[in-house]
Amino acid sequence: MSNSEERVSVHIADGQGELEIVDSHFLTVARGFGQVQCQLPPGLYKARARAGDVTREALFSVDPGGGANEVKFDALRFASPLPLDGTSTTHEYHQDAVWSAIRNGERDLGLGHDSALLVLVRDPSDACRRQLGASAVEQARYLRSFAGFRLDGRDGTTLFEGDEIFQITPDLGFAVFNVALAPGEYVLVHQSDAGEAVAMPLPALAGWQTQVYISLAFPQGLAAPGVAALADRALMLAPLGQDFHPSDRQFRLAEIARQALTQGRQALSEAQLTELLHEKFVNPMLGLIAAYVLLLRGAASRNLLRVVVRNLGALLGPEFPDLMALRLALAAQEGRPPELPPAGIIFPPLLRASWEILVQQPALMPEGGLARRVASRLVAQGPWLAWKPMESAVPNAAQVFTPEERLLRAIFGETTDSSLASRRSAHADGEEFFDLADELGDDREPRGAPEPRRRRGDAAKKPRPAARPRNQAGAARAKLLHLAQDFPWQSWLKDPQNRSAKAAMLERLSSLQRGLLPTLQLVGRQIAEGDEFTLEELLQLQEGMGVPLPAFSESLDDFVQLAEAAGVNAPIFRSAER
Amino acid sequence: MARDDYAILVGISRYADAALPRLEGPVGDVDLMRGWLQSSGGGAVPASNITSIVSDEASARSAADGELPPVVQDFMNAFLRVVRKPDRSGFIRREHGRLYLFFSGHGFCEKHARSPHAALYAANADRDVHYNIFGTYYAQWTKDHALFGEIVLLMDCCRDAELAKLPQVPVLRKPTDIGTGNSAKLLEIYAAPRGGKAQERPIASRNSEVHGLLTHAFLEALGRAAPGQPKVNSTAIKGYLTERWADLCAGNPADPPEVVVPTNGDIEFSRGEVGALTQRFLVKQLPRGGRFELIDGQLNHFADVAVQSRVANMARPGQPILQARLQANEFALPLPAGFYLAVAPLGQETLRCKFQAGGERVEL
Repeated sequence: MSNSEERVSVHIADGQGELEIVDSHFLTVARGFGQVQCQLPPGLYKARARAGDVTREALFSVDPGGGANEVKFDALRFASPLPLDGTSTTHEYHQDAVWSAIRNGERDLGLGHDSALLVLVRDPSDACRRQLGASAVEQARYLRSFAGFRLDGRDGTTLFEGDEIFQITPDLGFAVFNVALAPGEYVLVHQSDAGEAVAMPLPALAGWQTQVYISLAFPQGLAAPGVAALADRALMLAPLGQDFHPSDRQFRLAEIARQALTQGRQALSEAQLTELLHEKFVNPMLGLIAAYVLLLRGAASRNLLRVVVRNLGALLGPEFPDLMALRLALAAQEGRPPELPPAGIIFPPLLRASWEILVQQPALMPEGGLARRVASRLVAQGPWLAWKPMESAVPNAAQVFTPEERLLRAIFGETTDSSLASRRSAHADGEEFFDLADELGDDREPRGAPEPRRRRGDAAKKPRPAARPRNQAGAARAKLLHLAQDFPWQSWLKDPQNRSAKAAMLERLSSLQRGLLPTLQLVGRQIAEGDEFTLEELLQLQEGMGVPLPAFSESLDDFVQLAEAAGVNAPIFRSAER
Repeated sequence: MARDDYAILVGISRYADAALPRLEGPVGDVDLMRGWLQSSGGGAVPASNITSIVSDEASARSAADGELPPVVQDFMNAFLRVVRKPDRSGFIRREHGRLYLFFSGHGFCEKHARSPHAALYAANADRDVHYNIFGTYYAQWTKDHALFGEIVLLMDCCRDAELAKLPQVPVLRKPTDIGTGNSAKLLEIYAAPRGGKAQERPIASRNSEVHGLLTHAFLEALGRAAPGQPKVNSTAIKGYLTERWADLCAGNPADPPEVVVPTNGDIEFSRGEVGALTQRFLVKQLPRGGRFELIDGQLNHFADVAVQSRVANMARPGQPILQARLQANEFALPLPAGFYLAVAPLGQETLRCKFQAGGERVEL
């Protein structure tokens, strides 16, 4: 049998999708995007095409002396929140909705000009038709699928509620708005029907329209409002006023790349990357996605990445957080020290991958910036960065301590007034006491009552006094030990009498704080058994949780206050634990 | 016997929280894995080096018990017994050893994270305090310390996206030299893609016992991937799981597994006899008394099959004729894993049918 190789060509009709050729030993022998051409020895093979959620396979044989072999796949119709032609979830009326919203111009809400935000929330299923003939209750429930969105400024001020400005067409299953904005940073907040709130960063760039596309899912049919698939949302940047083209090849390419990146795959070939990058001036988001694909490829694509980062800087501005992350990553790959921007990162990046790079440089997140404030509140949302909004974290009745009371609690872990008094008298020399406070670096002002969510026009929030940064690790360790030793979590959590207090507190905890709960109990047990909890272990824990130390420390502060407000350290629970 | 090989097998089927429903497969999965590990043709791991941590399914202890075992500390204790010196003066390095970490039960992962990972809920986990064993972290920590030359991590659990849960990071001292683990190999196999669900179901070939689909598929891959080879490596296992997954689901689709092979060289698994897959054929156009040729993936002659009224006889070179009964025009033949071409002359035409062994029925 001849072993001469024969030419093989595998392609997808529209040239978009990942391709793979596997031999009879189930080993991958060729890969590509849109089209693969290679030479293979005679044998039986399987060609696989993939885009988004769609996979197609075909067995073929390469016969000796048989000449060129060709395998063709039809265009792959994958699901996408963007109503693009050739996707499995598109509808013409959704395409028309976007086109009309852009054609009709941006709505002026007095929020400035030179930029715009378009948000489309759509139901790709047939629920919109089924609700037409449904009961009034089911129709009202269906309508609630589009509710819960609002836009905040970067200072937390609410600019508008989605319910007030969405153009909702339930019979066609969509809600859309197109609003003029001043360039700047904004936060899109969504509160689900179940009450869970999530916040997402949204930049608005001069001369560009930020477009957000979100699909709804109806796992319970019309028995419950639809669920916004926020993790799978698409975000695009288009020149202000540019028409929406549902057959836009670049939008489709970006969607394939985004979905592949979400699954950890580098979907794009060099040729496709070049195409994306050439088109970056039409949609900078494509450039960002392409840049992360290049980053995954490492040294092989470093030169191209350098060009991409430079060109994106001209479009997005040098201080665009995701761009700063890419520059840091490039510096790390090239083995040179990073150039940290003097002002640091105030506003969070769009992509979670960018965050994971930025968080390696805690100095980049100055106190008072939104990035620092959300560091301990992040939630999982696919490739996007998102967090639990702050107003759901602050307790309704915070117990206020003086700085020295909090410090004493942190040092000695005792909570009774008499013991505090005894400790205080032992440190009657105030200078000595505050030297100790200074050493631990925990001398911030006491937290006041929580501030209500402000509407636009309310007075601006005063910044918190800066904490002295010295020995933050030691202070964090003291706080964690305090939480582990002085709060009887197990008995409090198990007590059937305090269900409502428990539920209320747990709801306010950030994901990091909830993630700490099991560890606190283990650490408490560890110490009770005579083992130490060292500073090194504290830093390992903090690093493992992916949060900068200052944010970790602040999160512990919040945790203490929440726990005390909820009465976790009430004597009855301490007695039960002993 | 692989004296420096160790294994910790965790199977949790009972949970304190009703939101984590009882499972049928995990304890049996641990039994299956232990059987392979202890077999001389399999892992050949000394029985004393294998630790099983499983739910006590016969216990009368209430599932509402906050300390329903096994808990995280049970695993941590077992792990430290393997890796730490008895006097706690440091860790034990087994350069030529292999550590198996196996987890079966309910699990989750953080969907945003680019790197593959998963955590298994402990039995006492609930919605408020989600105790969990961060399997990926332990495996990677072991690699970073180069405590074993090879680490095999199998997590037969769901990897649902969790909005507000983080895998529980154990407080274990990290190595000071980040290059320490460069030579150690780590194979990671997750039952589902990130955000996906693992499944357990009755497995026909295992007497309809309920097992995790990944556990069953992995053990099948060990026995059937790379036919003709005395050993099977991690790349071959990955290829087998990828290409055979749809067939293993047998018409009831499940999210495919995610396999991360070592980047510094394959891990090889010894095995005994290589098993064959069952391939079904339906006689439609082929007349009784007809014949067809089976050609393998390298386009070499594999076998001749003669179809008679009640039996089909497969003749392979150098092997005794194998007979399969015909029932309702259907018969089944054992074939090694791979792609095949069935060529049947039908008068002036030739029927050519490409198929993957163990997959859909081939109509001739």
